[in-house]
Amino acid sequence: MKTNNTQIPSSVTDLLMDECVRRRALEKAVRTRFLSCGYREVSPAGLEFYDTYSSGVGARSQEEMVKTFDSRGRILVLRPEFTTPIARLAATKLRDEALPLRLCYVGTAYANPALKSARQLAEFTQAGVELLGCEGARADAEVVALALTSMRAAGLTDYMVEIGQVDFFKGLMEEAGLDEATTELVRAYVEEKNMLAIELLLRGNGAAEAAIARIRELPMLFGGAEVFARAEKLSAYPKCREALQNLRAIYDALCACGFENFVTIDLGMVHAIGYYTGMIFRGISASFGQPLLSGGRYDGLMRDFGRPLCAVGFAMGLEHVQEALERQAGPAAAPGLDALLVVGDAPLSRAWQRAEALRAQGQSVELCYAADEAEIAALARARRARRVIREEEAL
Amino acid sequence: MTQITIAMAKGRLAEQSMELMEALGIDVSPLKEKSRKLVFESGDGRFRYIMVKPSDVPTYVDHGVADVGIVGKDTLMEENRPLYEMLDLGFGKCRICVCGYAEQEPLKKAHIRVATKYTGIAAQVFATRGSSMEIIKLNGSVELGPVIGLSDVILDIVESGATLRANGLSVIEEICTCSARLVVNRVSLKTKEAAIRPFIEGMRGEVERRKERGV
Repeated sequence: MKTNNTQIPSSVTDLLMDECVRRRALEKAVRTRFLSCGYREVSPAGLEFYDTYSSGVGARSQEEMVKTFDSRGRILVLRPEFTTPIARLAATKLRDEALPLRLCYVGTAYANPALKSARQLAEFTQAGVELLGCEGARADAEVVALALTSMRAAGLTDYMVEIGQVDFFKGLMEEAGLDEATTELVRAYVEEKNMLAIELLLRGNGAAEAAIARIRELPMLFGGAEVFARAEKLSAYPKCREALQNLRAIYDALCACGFENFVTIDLGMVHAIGYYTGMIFRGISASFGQPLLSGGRYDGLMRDFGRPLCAVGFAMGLEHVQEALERQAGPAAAPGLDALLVVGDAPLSRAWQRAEALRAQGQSVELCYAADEAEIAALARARRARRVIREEEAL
Repeated sequence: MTQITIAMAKGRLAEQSMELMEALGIDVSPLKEKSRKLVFESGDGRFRYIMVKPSDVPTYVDHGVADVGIVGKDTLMEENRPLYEMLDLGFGKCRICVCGYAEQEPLKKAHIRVATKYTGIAAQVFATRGSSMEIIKLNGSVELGPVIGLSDVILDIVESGATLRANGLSVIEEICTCSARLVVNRVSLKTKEAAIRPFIEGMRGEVERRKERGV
């Protein structure tokens, strides 16, 4: 029988030494940023009941979740993300914590990669924050600002955030009187900026010319502050106007905080409109072809767990960030060893004490039992050791 | 200056796209030289071109190694990747159809065998229908399927329908019409907006001028 004992499944990776050092440094940089902003870290369970994800606004399709069973035959999933577990925590174990709750996480999540999707991994690291129990444009802007500074802390230089507002789209659909099924079709076309398909669909549907003209413009409503003026002309429907006022307030707040050159607007960003209830955003970098982080306001999720609470947050994909960093500057060399300590004929106790003295000063010291000079030299090179110490020299 | 990388589907679509771009004053001359090179650059450095298999165009654009792609709608439907599909270029028109021996009413069978190279589209089309189906992947001469008894129907693109007629087959159902599309990577559109937006608008203008002239 052919076995796979030397292989690993597709879409997962082994992180080897240098890469692992860079990953941990990245995790540390992002975590430090989160903690410094008052977000407290939690590490929710890695296995959850399937039921947690099978219904409500945060429901995920069963195909994308990695599943197993417990001893009683109940379906379990490897956590596909962190927001839902944190919502569960906020509704249960954290019920008595003072609001607002500022929580963050850095950890591994799992998914069955879609058959055709660029770089979706089966096992991936997410770092993110959730701000629960805080409403308003200032809270939204704070979370976007944290996303921007987290990208900066990660070491990215060419990053930006695009912000949108799902209520602008929802308002346009209501104003045009479109039913749910048509709205979903239009949403998919808006998301792919396919103006022709929008026009054909709505015309075939007998929608009013004025509505077609309005909705057709939606995909192109992206860019800088000038987008607001263009969008205001498009619709006077109250829901649309409120959405624009909200987004404008967030945008102005971010500009006033000094992020003007890092924020762009896209009202045609309408992914997951059943989940998000207000502002949505994505973090992008010119060094990588996919979004590096995404988030937004999701005031509906907590209701599914029995504790209605407004919420806003984002999650960053660290594998993608790391790849963007490497494209930006090439893989940074991991720090080498401070010292290779050649033990020679000495007893371990002596070498150990010597090494510990150096380690106490913050140096990394590896013991070397080789006797052959060529072998010692080769090892020192391979470890990029800054110096080679011989135990006998100490005497 | 920001350079835009364009992935083009080798063959007729690329030739027609080059003509369109030439009309806009974009230098595509390096593409016309006989060469085994895979990457070409316009004289002014504004554009970089890569010539790839049609089904690979969405892959390059999705990964962001190409900012823009020019490819048929049929390929986009089959690959089904999250891209911005911003412009219908109007050429390369064809229809995606289910074909077979119409008189045998193959679509009324409880279990339908479909021969196609578009397995993704076939799965989407038949998934919502009552009958169960079996997809048989073929890479060419799909029409042989019903003729030789391999499948009940085929799902394929139809241009003139001459091959179908020559083999006694006919169109049973038209799924949709297709043509060449200009697709854009989701990140590039934002990070290279100043370069990409005028390019798309230029292409849009040229396509509309041609439509008016009836070319």
